[in-house]
Amino acid sequence: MKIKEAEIIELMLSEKSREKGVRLMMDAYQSRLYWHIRRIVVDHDLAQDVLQDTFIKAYQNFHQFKQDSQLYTWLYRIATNESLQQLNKLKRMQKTDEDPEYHLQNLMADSVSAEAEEIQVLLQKAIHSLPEKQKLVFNMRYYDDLPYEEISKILDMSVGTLKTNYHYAKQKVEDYIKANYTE
Amino acid sequence: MKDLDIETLERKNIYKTPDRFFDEMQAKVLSQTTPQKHAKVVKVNWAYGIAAALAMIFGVTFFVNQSNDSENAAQLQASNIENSSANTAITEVKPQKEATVAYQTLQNDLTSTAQDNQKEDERLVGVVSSKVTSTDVQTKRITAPVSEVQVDQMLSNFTSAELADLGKNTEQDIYLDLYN
Repeated sequence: MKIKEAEIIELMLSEKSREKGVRLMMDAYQSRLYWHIRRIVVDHDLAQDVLQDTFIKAYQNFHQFKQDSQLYTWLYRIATNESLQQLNKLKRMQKTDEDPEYHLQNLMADSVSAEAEEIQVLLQKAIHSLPEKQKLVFNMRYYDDLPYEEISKILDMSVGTLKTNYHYAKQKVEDYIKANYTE
Repeated sequence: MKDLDIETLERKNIYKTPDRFFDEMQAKVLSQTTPQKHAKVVKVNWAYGIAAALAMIFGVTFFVNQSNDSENAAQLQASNIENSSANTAITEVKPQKEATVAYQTLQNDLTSTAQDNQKEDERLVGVVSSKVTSTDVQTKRITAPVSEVQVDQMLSNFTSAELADLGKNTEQDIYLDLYN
């Protein structure tokens, strides 16, 4: 992965090979980033817009990428910020008396495929019941298997805080599933 | 469900995505990120624009004036040429006629003299004929006064007796022409 990242960075830094760099970058990260965004915003169309904006911003601001972190960490940071911005926009547009978590759960119920297992659906619902920070930490750790150090760079949080957040998040999710699972 | 550990669950995506979504996404992003080949837009400074417009106006005015002058000059030149050619035509017609008449008369006289007087010196005839032919050619080109001078020169080569003969022949020729 590191060799591929170095190749992408080299291609992106040269104006002549930038198009090839974008292609390679999207081939490498678009699927992972899409699912990361989709778990936050739930809606496919919104996730599509956010993913598109993520790559366009990455392309436009590539000169700002300091190579002290990994490329995918930088892309995750852009994608996370874009997703949260979109969610905040949605919240502002919605009625003030409607619970945003409740809205996301309803949206999720509409987006879930018919083949999805009940426990997986419950897991998603449990995640959406979490506070925003805990949700982000849980998703990145549980689904993307990102190291705490990388999540720390993405969310600007200390590793200790992240570990605590993940621990509490996991506990809440398990409790939610146990309470709602019907055997 | 008492012993639930979510770490043991399989990580699955439960959401639906359209087919070929990622291919289309890549095309969309590339269409917005790849620099499009636009025509180069040159921003024109107002000052340069005004200066260019003024230069064009003065240039066109100068060109138009110059072309008018040259047209007038050409017309004047053409009229001068016409006048001069008309003048020369007038001046040339008269002497040419006089010269040709003189040459023809002279040539006729010489031929009639040669017929009448067989003893006449061939040298004289040769000189006269050569001079006549040369002057004949010259009449096409040169102006009247030159021809007259040549005729005078030719006449001066003849003796008074020869000239008297020529005078006789002239009369004879006239009669001959009349009778013929």
